[in-house]
Amino acid sequence: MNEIKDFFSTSQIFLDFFRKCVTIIYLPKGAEKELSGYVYVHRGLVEVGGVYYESGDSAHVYGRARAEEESIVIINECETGYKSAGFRDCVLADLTMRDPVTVEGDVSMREAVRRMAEAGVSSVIITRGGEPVGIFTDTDVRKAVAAGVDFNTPVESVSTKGLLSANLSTPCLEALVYMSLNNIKHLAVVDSAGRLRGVVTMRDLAYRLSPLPLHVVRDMKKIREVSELKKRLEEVRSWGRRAGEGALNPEFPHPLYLTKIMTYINDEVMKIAAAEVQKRLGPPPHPFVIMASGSQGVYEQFIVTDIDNYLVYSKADNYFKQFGELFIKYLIDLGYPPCKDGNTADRLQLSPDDVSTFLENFGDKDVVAMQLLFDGRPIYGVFELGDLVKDVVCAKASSQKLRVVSNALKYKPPLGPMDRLQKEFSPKHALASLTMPVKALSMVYCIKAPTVPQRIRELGARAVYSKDLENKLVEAYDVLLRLAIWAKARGVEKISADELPNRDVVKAALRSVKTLHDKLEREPPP
Amino acid sequence: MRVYAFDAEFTDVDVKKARLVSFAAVPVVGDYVVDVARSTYVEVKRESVGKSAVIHGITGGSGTVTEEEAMRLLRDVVQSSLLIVFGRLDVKFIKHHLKADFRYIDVASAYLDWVSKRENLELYLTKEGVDLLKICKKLGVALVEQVFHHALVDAVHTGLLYLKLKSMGVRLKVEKP
Repeated sequence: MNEIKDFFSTSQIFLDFFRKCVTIIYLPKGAEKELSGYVYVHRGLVEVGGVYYESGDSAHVYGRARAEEESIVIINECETGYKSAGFRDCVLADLTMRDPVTVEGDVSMREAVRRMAEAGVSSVIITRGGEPVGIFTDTDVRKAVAAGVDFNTPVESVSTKGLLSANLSTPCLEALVYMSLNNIKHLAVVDSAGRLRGVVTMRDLAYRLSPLPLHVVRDMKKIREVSELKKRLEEVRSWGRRAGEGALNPEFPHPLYLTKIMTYINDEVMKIAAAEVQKRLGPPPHPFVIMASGSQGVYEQFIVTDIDNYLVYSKADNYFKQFGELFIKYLIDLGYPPCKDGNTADRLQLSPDDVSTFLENFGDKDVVAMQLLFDGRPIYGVFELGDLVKDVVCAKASSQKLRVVSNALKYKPPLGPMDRLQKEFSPKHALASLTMPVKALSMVYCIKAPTVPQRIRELGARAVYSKDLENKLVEAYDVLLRLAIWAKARGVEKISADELPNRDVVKAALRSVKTLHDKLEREPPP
Repeated sequence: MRVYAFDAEFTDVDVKKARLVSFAAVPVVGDYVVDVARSTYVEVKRESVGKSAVIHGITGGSGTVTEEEAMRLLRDVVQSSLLIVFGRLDVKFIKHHLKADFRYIDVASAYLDWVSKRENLELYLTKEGVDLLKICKKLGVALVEQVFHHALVDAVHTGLLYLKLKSMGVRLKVEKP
C-alpha cells in the first residue's frame, strides 16, 4: 500500500492496480463514513474506534471513521481475507470471500436455478442494468415449485423478498440479529462505496460464530492452493491461541471438541500434501499409508508445535524415500515446525514385517517408539497397513507388560506431600501423567480406539480398574487437557498453582491420576 | 442518475477534427466517494492515435479497443448520466459526435465563479491559468505532485475537486449540453 505514495506514477501496472482495487474517500472535517478494508491515509487525520490514523498511515480498518481534519483516505479493495480470528470481533468482511452470483431480472427462473446450482450457492442477486435490485433464494424456488409457477417465468417476478444489505464492517453478531429480525437467510454485503461485494447466509454466520472454528473445516474442503492453505493455517493457529486462553472458563466447550477440530484440519492438510506429492511422483509401486502420530494421532492436537508421523509400506522402494522427503518438505513449507526428535515420515519408514527390527534400533527407548507406532492413525493410503503395524506392537507390548507400564509411570502427577499441588508445574507433564499410563495400558490390552477418553472407557469395561476410577479419569482428562491448552495458548511451559482459578478441581483431577499410578505400581497388569 | 467524474483525451483540440484517444468515467457516490475500482477506462488502439498523443503521455499503445467500439462504450457511459467535467471540451466532443442524453457540471467554471467573488478573476487567470492539478493542490485534494495528463488520473482529480467544491458550498450548476 505504500506504493500509493508514488500514486499515479503512470506506471501501467500501478494504474491497472488502481483501476481494479481503489476507492478514494474524501472526508471534509467532521464528516463520518463507514470504512472497511485496507486503508491508506493520503492526507489528514481520521479516527476509527478510538484509534487515530494520520497522513501516511495504513491499516486494516473496519468501522465508522470520523475526519478530525479534512482527509483523503484510499481503500485498497483487493486486500481482502480474514481480518479477525475471534468470533467477538468478526465482521462481514471476514465472510465475504467470493464474488456474488448475479442474474438480470428478465432471465428465467430455470436459468437462475441453473446458475445457483453451477456456483453451488443458495441465492442469486437480481440486477437491472447491472444494479442490484433483488434476491432470488432457494426458499423462492421451493415456494414457486409448490405453487406450480412456470419455470420460464422471469426470476424477478418470482422473487419474494427485497434486497437487504449491510456494510463490510458490520459485526457478524449485529448482522445475525438484523437477519433474524427481518426473517431473512441471505444478506447482501456492500463496501464503503456501496458496491455489492458478496452475500452472507445465516449458515455462514452460524459457522463463523460457533465457539469452534467450523468455518475453517468447511473451507478446507475447497482449498488446494498452498498459499491459501498457509493463510488458513495461520488463521486457525491464531484462533486457537485466542480461544485457548478461555479454556479454563466453565463455559468453554469440552476441550476434546476443540482438539478434534484442530486435528481434523491438520489431517486435511496432510491429505492434501500427500496427494500433491503422489501427483508429482506418480502412483506408488506398492501399497503404503501415511500415519499421523503423537498428539495428532490421538486427537489431542491444539496448537501445532511439531509434527509426528511415519510411513508404512508393504515393500521397501526408493519411491517412498522420495515421497517422505517431499511430503515433509511440503508440510514445513506450510509453516509446520519440524519434529525435534526426527519422528517424521521422511525418516520413519517401515513395513509391518520390520516392526521388531525397527524397534531394536531405538535401544532402550523402544517403548517410546512402540507408543509412537501405536498412536499412529492412518491418514492417506491403504489404512489396513497401519493396523497391521499396530497388531505387531500390541503383541510386543503384551509380552513385556511390566516394562511398558513402568516406563509410562515416569511422569508423576505434580502433587507434593499430603497431596498438595506443587507450587509450580508443567501442565503438559500433568496431562502426560494421565495419558502415558492410559496409552501404555491400551498397548498392553490392544485397545486401538484413537482418543484417550475412549481408551479410558474401554479399559474400564475390561475391569482394568473400577468404574468409579474410570469416571474420575475421564473427568481428570477434561480438566488436565483444558489446563494444557490454556498454558499452550499463553505460550508458557510452567504455571504457578496460585494463578489457577480452579485449583481444587485441578487438585482433584491429579489425585485421580495418582490413584491410577498407585494402583499400577501396586498391581501391575498380569 | 449515475454521476461520473469524466475526462477524455483527443487527437485535436478542434472537436470537429478530433478523434478519441482515451476516456475515463469514475463513479462519484454521495458526498465522499470516488469509486476508482468501478471506473470505465478505455484506450483506443494505438494506430488510431494522432499527433497529440505525446502530450497525453499515452504512448505505450496498451489500448485494445477500436475507435468504433470506444465510441460505443462512451455513448453507453454518457447516456442518462451526470458528468462532472473540467472545462467544456469533452462535452463539446460528445455533443458533436454522439447522440446522447446527459447532463454535466463543469467544475472549472464553478471554481472560477467562486474565485471571481473573492478576487480579480482576470488577474488570477493571468497568474495561475486554469490547470486541474494546480487547483486541486491549492484546495488540498491533489493526489500527486506532477503528472502527465492521463484520462483516469484527471477524472479522479475532477471527482475530488467536485467533492471539495460541494463541501465548500460552491454553487455547482447542472447544465445541458
